[in-house]
Amino acid sequence: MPILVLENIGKTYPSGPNGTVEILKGVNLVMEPSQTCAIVGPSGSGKSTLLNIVGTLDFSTTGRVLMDGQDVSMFDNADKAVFRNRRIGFVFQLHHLLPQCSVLENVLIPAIVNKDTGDAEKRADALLETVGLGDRRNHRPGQLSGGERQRVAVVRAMINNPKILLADEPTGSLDNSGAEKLGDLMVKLNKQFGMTLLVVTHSESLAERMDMIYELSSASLTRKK
Amino acid sequence: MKLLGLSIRSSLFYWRSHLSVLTGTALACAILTGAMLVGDSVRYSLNKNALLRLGNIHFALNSYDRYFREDLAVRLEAESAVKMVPALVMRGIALCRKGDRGDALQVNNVQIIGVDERFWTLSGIAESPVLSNESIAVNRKLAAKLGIAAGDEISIRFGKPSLLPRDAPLSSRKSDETVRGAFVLSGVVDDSQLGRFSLYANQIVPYNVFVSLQWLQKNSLLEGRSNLLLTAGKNEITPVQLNECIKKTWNIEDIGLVIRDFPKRELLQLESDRVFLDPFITSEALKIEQSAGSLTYLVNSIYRTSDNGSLGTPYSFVEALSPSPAGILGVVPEDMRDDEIILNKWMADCLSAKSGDDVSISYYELTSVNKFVEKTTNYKVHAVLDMHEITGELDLAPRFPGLTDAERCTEWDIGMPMDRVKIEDKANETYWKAYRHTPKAFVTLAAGQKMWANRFGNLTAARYSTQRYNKQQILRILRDTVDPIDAGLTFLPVRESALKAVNESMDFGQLFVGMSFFLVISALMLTGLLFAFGIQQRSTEMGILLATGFTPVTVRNILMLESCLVAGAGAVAGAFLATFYTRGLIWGLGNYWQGAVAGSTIFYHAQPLTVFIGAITSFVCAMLSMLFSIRRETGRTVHALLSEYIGEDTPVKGNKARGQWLWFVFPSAGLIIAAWVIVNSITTGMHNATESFFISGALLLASSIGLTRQVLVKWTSPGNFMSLSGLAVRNTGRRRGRSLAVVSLLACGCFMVFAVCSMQMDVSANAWMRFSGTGGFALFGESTIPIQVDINSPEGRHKLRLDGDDLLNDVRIVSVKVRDGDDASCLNLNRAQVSRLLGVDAAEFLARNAFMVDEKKEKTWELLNKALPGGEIPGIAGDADTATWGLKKKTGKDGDVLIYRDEKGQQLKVKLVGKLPMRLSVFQGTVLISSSAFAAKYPSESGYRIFLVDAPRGDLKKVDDLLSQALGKYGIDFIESVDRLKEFYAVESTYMSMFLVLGGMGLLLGSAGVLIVVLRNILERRSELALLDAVGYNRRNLNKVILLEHGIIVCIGLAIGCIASFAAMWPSLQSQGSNIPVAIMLFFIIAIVLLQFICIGASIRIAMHSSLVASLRNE
Repeated sequence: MPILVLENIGKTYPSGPNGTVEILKGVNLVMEPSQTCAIVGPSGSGKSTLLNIVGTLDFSTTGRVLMDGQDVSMFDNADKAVFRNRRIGFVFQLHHLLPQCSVLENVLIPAIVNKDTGDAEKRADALLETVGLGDRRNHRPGQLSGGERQRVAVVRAMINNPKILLADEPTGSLDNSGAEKLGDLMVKLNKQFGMTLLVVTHSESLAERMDMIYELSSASLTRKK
Repeated sequence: MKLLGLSIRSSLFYWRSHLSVLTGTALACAILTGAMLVGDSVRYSLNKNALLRLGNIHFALNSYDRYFREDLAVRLEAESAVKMVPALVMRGIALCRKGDRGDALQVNNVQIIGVDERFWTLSGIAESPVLSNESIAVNRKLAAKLGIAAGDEISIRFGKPSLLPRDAPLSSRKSDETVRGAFVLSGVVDDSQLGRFSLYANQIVPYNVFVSLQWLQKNSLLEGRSNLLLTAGKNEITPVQLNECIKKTWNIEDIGLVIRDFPKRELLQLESDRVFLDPFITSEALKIEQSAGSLTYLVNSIYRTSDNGSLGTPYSFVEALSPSPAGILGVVPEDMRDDEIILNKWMADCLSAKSGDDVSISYYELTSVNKFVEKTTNYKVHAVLDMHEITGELDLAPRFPGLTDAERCTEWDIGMPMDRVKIEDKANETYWKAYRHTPKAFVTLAAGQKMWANRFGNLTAARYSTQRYNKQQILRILRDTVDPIDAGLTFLPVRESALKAVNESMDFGQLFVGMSFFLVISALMLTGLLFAFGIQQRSTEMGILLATGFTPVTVRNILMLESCLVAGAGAVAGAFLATFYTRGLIWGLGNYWQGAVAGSTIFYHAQPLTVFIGAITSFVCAMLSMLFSIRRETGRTVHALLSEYIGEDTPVKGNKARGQWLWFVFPSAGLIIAAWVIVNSITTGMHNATESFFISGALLLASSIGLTRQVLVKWTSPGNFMSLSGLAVRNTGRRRGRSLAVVSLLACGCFMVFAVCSMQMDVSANAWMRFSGTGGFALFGESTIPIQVDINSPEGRHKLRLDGDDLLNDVRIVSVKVRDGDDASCLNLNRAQVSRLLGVDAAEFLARNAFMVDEKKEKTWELLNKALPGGEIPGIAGDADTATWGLKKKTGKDGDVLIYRDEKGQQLKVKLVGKLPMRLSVFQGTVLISSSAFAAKYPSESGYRIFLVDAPRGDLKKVDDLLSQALGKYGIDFIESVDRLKEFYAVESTYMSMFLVLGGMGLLLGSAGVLIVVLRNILERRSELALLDAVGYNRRNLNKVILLEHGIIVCIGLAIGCIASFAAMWPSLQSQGSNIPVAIMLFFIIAIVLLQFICIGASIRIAMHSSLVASLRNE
């Protein structure tokens, strides 16, 4: 069974006194478990909007999103929050780490809400070891480099064993070397933990490492690979 | 583009942010300037009142109960070329009948002012009311009180004055009468026409009745006399010059002295209409060569010593005379010794006495507390004179009203106690019929003065031989040697004193600034916060400016210029707003806080200088609050300014961590010292309660806030917080400055409000106890007309008709003498220049332990009888508040000296050797001296006007009614002592309610600060919240984290404020009479907590209203 199915997704925004802007129109996408996919396209084409709709952070004007067989667009806000917490991991262009918390605490943020901190801490330690930050667990975000912060953000996204990892320009704020390393890490984690990976990116090299590449242009999604 | 241009452009670009800063500055300026303008307005109003009560009067000669000849005014006017206005002023009662049943309406303590048309010229208004034998005028206040208008009937009553002071021995009690006059009201005198006329520095308008001077003189038997001389003065004339004019123009007849010529005896005799010649007259009168003094007295009995009184005669006049050669000036020869006596033939026959026999005289001596003590002196008979040899002495003898004018002995009416049986002695009656008051015996003047000299004088006459002097010579000598000031003829600069009293009056500006302090601080903190938020928003801009080569100083200057523009505009707007704010406060004073200004009307008045000072101060304060942020932000490195974590407080590590222990040690030390101050205050019996409150309060607040900082540091340290609450706790330390600002604001606000609430005093608690401010006396009475008799004695009660009801048998009354002066109580907004002086019998209070908190330790009353060097008289302040606030004087061993003028116009130094220990007593606003000192310095102030009543608690109302009814003609008002305390306390109570309102407004403003801080925190962390949203936190969880985070800060602030205020107030709460309004304080706490949480809730709602997703993007 596909882990993610997008059926005829459309999204319009009001613009001006009476007009609307159509960002997405009839977008369809199917992803199987453990599959990786990159969505590319020019700036302002609606890639992040699509990712947010997939991640239940935004809603579509038309169509539906089926994740693990469930129509998430039918969920209320509370159910969506629980669903995001249990099934989805997010990585954003900015890491959005909490400055007042240590690396470990940042990683555990999603675990707090479902009160799973006991096992989560072990998982966090393991994941941090995996990404090479085992020795930085008690550091604050301000004490890390940009690449390290982004790796912490990835670990935070992985802490609840999500079925799908959504990454919005994850390498956008990193240099080439850092971007390369993060790409490696994400692929490695995909292989190691088997979660589905949907990445929105401008980076061709990162996109090339995905199983599928889709281009979003003129509100429509077209498969390139 | 220059720096100024950049600043102006930035100011315009960030106008929203700056508008909020401008509003904060304007608010602070309006509150501060408004408070100062209240001071201007109160001072202006007091000044206006002072000028209204005095009109054009600049100088006044007030001789109180001494009366001078009215035509002195005419001579003075001619000498000084200054218009003089004589008047006769007395205290009295106004009455009128109202309604069909003719219910009498009585107003006591009315000033009855006898004036003629000259008086009205002092108002500067040509119109004057018609005053005649049938018509009088009253001022607006009295007309309103009585509800009368022109054409209505009105009566007045006043005590008939006596030239011979009523306390003097042999003074008639017949004159202890009141005079009543019925009139038609001719008009109501407006305030601008001197309707408020009074010489006392008090903003409270007196009840004034204006009567014809002639009518008042005639009916008070003081024809041609006055006791007040008023003048508008003229340019550059001084009281000294006026007093010089008095010296040039006065004559001894002005003060009631007269020289009678006895051609047959070839004698001139100096006499006084006060009967006794004042000591300052006698000293000069007897300095004249070949003069003789005479002192005539009524003795109780003269009897043969050997017969132990079986042979004797009661109630006889005896004359003491200076010995003179060949009996030129009297019958006492030069060779007569002081232990010898001359008897007239009638007396010698009565006693069967002859030369060489022993004779005793028993007589009454008047003590300083007006008691008569019988004493006896023995004499040897020097000679016996035939009746024809002393016939002339009858003409020379003084005339005692009620005594020498009586037809029969039984008609005698004098103040001394007399035996009704002895007075009916037939032989004595026969003598009276034949020889009237011809002395029955003669002693030397020295012997006589030893027995009968008293505070009213030691001579009844001085004699001169016409062979040596003529009348004019004596008059001239006395005029040249006697100082008229000794007779009370001295001008005082009343206008200058009035204006001084206003200038030194309570500074309401300061009071309101103090009360608004927290409100101003709140507004300034708000301003600082808003500005800090504004420039924190622009940290990237600052970073870029620095990165592109601007120096930190230049960047700072750009921001300073901006803040100057904003603060300047705010101060100008605030100054404008202040005029409305002041009007609001004055409206509050007129409608809700009348107690604070004792019901006076306050007029709005703004001094441009005050507005300027207010605006500049606000501008500077606002600049300082902004400067702090500017320095902080521009002190950062370029890297820090461009960093995404700008402003976040991180855990303290490294070098910084080493000094952290100080943050623990100092606050802990502060807490320990505060605890010691509190314990010390309790153990030392609250002698320094105010200092203790402020020191311990400040220490507790500062230390607790310091410790809170440490707690916040601790909370931001790494650790396991695996819960939402833990996350919230961690967040409290992220912006420690902001968190501490909120904590401080709320803590200080709560401290002030709760401390003020705790200060409430229950004046009725223990009001029946001797140690309370009532002294344990149930009633406090004050009469308009003095009561001359001993109200506790059977005779006195009989005379006052207080012996009709058994209930009064258990009632004891302590009487107090009064010398009018300025009221130094909290009811007088003016600074008392010469406060009211009371003569008290310390023994009465000592016997009751009245007004003594610790009767074993306190010797306050005993201090009154202590002899002091330098002619100073010991005095005690009516209560602690009188000393501290009313007089603003030190008391105790090194107490201040108050300068009064005694009845003779001489300086009287009263040293404040102590004060009644309680904060508030029924004697508030007065200075107490011993009755003996009072009588010595003010002998003419006869009788008692204040009465403290010990009465059974259950029958208080009935006692009040009985006393009020019996003593009604004296214009007496009785009030429950506790109610008198409540009247005084109403002022303080009003201050507290004003403070609570202003403090409450401060807390409201503080709440606005909390709202802004929360809003700012949320807006700054929107991306963080969006991330939490993304990882599965629902809105409830997010709200919980934010609410908890800010709730913790609010609760810490409130807890510190509450605990610190209660701890600091603890010593006071232990004392008697504290009255904590628990319900009000609970209401306050709940209201503040609710308000804060509503603010937090509102902030969350505003900040979280829109979608958080956008915050995750890079824009």
